[in-house]
Amino acid sequence: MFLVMNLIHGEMFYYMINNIIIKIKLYGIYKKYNIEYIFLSVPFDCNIKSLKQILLKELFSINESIFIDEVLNCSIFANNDNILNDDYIILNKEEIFLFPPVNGG
Amino acid sequence: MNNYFFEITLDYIDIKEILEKKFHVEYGATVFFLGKVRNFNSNKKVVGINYDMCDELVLLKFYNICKHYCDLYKNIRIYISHFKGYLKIGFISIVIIVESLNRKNSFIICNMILEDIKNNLPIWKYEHYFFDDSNWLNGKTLN
Repeated sequence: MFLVMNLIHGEMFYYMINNIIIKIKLYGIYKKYNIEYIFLSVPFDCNIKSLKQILLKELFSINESIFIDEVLNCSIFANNDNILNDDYIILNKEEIFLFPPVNGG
Repeated sequence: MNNYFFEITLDYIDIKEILEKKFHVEYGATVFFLGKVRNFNSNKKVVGINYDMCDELVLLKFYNICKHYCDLYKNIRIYISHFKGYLKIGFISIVIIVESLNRKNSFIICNMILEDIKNNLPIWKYEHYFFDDSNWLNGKTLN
């Protein structure tokens, strides 16, 4: 039992030091999920390209009847100042926005 | 003094109120653009549209647009107001006013600002139809 607990704590510790928490604010068609934010735990060196894969699985787990793959491929991530390119490494506790294709005016 | 004004408004845009504003006598050409909610789209009868937007970035982009054109053309004034929330058909979603010394610049700048807003700002439309269904409209990827 002691060994098992140690293993669990070890894994949790490894997970905690190698992962960061990010907050993603959803807009447009993503409102179909009826949530405003998604909180995700991702590897500390996670870039935008990898984040899309993680997010796709997360969205699927929230509602598997919404087919969002194509929209997600055409969506972009941004922070308060800029659009974030695929190589951008996300920071711990960073809040980012998820923008589907736009059509204002 | 800034030669521009921009806002996101939650109140209905009232054209009479805008027309009553005192325009500047030093500018001979004032061009208005009004965007309204249309009653038909994609062969469906529309009853209204919800406008969703990322306020922080929309305001930042409005500032960049105004600054860019005011630096480029000097003697101009720009007014932009975009509605956020639900609008019935016929109501105004956006107003762009450009004042300049001559009409050519006013038309050109007004058109360029509109294209910028349509293509480069994080704004989305959720259209409501007569037969109860509704849909997020397709758009263009931001870049």
